[in-house]
Amino acid sequence: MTKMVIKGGTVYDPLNGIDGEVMDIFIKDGKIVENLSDGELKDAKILDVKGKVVMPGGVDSHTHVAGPKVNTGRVMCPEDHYKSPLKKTHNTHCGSGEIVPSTYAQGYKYTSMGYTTLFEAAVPPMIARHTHEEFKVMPIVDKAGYLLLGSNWFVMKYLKEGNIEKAAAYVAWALEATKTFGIKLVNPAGVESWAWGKNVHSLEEENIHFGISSGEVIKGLCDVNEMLGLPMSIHVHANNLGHPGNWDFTIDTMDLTKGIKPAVNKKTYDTGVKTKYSHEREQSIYMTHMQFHAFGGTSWKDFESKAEEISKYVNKSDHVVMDSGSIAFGNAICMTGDGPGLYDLAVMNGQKWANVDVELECGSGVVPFTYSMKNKVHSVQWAIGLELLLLTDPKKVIMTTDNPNAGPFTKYPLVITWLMSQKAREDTMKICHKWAGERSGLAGNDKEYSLYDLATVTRATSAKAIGMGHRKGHLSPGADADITVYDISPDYNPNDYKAIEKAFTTALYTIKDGEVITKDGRIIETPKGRTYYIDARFNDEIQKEIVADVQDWFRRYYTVNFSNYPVSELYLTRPTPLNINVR
Amino acid sequence: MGEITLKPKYDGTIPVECEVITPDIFEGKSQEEISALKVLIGPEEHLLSDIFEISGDFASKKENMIIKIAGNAGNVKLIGFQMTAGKIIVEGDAGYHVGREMKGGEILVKGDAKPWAGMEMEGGLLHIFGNAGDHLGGCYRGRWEGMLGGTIIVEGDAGNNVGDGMVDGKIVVNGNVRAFCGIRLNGGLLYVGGNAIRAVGVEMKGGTIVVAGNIKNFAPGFVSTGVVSDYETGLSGLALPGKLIGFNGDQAFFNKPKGKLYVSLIENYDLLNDELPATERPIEFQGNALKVILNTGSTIEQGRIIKGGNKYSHEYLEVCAVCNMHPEDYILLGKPEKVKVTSGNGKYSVLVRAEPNEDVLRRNVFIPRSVWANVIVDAYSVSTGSPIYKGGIVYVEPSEGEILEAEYIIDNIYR
Repeated sequence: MTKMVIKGGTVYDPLNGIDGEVMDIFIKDGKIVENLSDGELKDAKILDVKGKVVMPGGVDSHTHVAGPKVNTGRVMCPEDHYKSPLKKTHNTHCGSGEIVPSTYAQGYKYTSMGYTTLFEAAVPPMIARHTHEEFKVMPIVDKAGYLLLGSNWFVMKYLKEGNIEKAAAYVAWALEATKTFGIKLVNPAGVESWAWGKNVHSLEEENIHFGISSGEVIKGLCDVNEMLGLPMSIHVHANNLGHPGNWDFTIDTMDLTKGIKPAVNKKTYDTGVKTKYSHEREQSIYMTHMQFHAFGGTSWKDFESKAEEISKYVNKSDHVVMDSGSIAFGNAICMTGDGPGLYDLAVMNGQKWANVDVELECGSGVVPFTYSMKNKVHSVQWAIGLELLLLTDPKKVIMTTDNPNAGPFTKYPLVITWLMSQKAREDTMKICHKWAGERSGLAGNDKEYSLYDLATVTRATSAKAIGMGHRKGHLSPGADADITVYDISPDYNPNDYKAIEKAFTTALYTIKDGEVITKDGRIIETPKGRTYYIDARFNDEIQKEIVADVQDWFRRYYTVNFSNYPVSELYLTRPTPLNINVR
Repeated sequence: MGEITLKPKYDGTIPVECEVITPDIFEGKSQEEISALKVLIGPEEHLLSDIFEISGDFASKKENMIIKIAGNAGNVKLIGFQMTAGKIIVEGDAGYHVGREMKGGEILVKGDAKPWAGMEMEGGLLHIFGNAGDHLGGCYRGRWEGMLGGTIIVEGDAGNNVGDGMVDGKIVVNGNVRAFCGIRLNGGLLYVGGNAIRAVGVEMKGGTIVVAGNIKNFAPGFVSTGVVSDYETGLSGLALPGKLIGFNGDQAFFNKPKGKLYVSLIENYDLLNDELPATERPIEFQGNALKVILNTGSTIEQGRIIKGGNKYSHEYLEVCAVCNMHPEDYILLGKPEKVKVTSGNGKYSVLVRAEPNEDVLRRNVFIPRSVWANVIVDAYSVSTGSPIYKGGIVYVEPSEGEILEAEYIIDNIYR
């Protein structure tokens, strides 16, 4: 296979503490190696990237790119597609769409931006097959999905009975059956109540029929997570999303798993890759799109940013990692498993709304939305999203827009400019509503991200948090040769933020598994990416018991047949199980 | 002034995508270059010279250019797409999307225009001397903003959804319009010289609509602001009736809407009465046949039977080949065992069992959505691609014929 040398670039590799060092990177057979022998060097491809910036391939740990709700977003918004046709070329498919591009276009756009690994943040178990069908045609990128379990009947039942082992056995079974990667909680316990038009608003409030509270579900699933030793911690979209004054509730939520120690069971898939700083996850809770959970005030009238308090808490707590969910102004489509949350938004918005109840498992809502610079609240939200990134230790925060909830992933370069250039922030603040400056601390913040910080929040922290550090997020020998080269000088001028935006919009080279995939945004190769999933073996006896339970409820309540439920590996491109043996 | 003449020579039924016919694209091109411009018929690429004979003066700037289409171009789409200056004269009909997204200049259509004329227009003038189709000055499916500026004048009638989502600009229709005129209006002025039917201005947030004629089936979300004289409306250059009733709306959708709706007092005197009695559809016979509204829809029973594709069974016929009607209508028709239902245009008919049903309104019928109902469903789709399964007009009369099996209908009628 291929051998390659990426020569003379300035390398930023935070997990190895490499901050702008000029060095060569050697690649052999899709992996990064220490060096190549003289014989190998002879037929190695040399990529001269002198004066350019080299980073590991981007890892998006929270994005919505595949599955039924993403498709609903596409169907609901034909207006997003008819003016943005993407032409077919000799090696790429046609496509369309700006906020939620079509599946192929998503793969091309993400890779030409330098991202090589995408984790879909919400897979409804029953409709996991659709997610995989879409993954199957998503070109180039490696991918995986998180399974929605926060309002799952089985999980709630076992946890309420206090039977944590059964809950763990169910989770292990469900992850394997749906070929997904981790535990996702969306408005835990609340989405179940939403099936009856209600919601829960505190950690103690019990939901309908199951009588379990959000706090119990979060703690329970966190215990399950560590009992199984999954690569990622629980991935939590907390209750009360988008309500003014939810910030202290968010802190209480994070407090729940303070005492739970992360215990990753990676014996069977450990590649032995070493990095200078540990690439092992350290958190027991991953809080998503924190921007929507850092609202102060009591109503929209006295609405303000509480990003500082949230950041303070996260900085001093070792058990938390978060992603920012930063807002990029303009059109977005909110899509989440949080049915009641999006109902609230739809009522406020007064336009289109889709809502789905997924039988015994979860729900979902989709609302097209526009974040306007003239809007007071949106301007403060914009400030919150940036404050969180600027105030928090980059080792504990990940840059996302919760694509496409707070903005499409194609706006990442814009978010990057706001992080890297104070001038960019000031210029935006001049044209957006004055609340952005008045109701947040953003105006007084003079921090500017370095390229090292940027590589941390887009690569190192995300790969580490989702437990993919054994192959992604750094450039140690043995890691996957996913590398991005950006056409920006290491001593760029932060005030020239247009140039920064341009550099991060199109990577000079994106390399995936040791092959050059894009050059200057042109797609050169379109290989199929891997699909990661968890194949966990739990206690056989308990496993048998829960499968009997599951079959019983299938007969009684599901509209699908039990035997049609599991997704076979045939649906996956390059299926890559992470085996976990807990027996 | 340089005039370029395009003489249509294509008469196929598949429309041609001709977004290249604009002064902006023609400017600076020779006759050969213009002839070589690419157009699409379905997926096939053709040259502009395959569609038109092209002649004239090719030297002028776009501002001074006149493109004359000398004949009928009803199957030519997108004439004047995104044009910014100059003039296009269509001597006959114009196809779909004429003047779509135009930003300036002028388009004159001497004949009729097909649907979506002036869609999302931003400036300039689109003058149609005949009738216009649906979605005149409207917006693309799903979008909030339709016409952003400019002027559209229609001397004849226009179809459904005129000016939907309009943000700014002016639409003047001197004739009648059909349903949903000014739906989701955000701003601008929409004038209808004739009559309108059903749901004028629903979901409007701002802007002004004037209907100089009669409105049939007025929308419920409008609150009267009193009678005003024409000069009090602040509108000029329009043929207004002397007295108008002013309304504010649509209050069914928004808290404090700024939409203004003026309708002729003399034509709509009933609207001043707050408690209009619900009027029933009148009894109208055409020969022996009663004029009714057809609603179709899938039923649970039907779903149970056809699970697994069991459409050719007699059980399916018994459940679906049935016309539910109000007992009063049933008696009016003489309690027939079977009825013949004929489509609104009189072209198609189907025989089904008659059944009185109190759940159906008077002068309405319900036939399960099935092989039988589909024979008579109106194919008109308001440019949605889905025919009118509910609300079309049909005629019902007693009949003695035989109810045909599904298989026979599929093999003989649909062919």
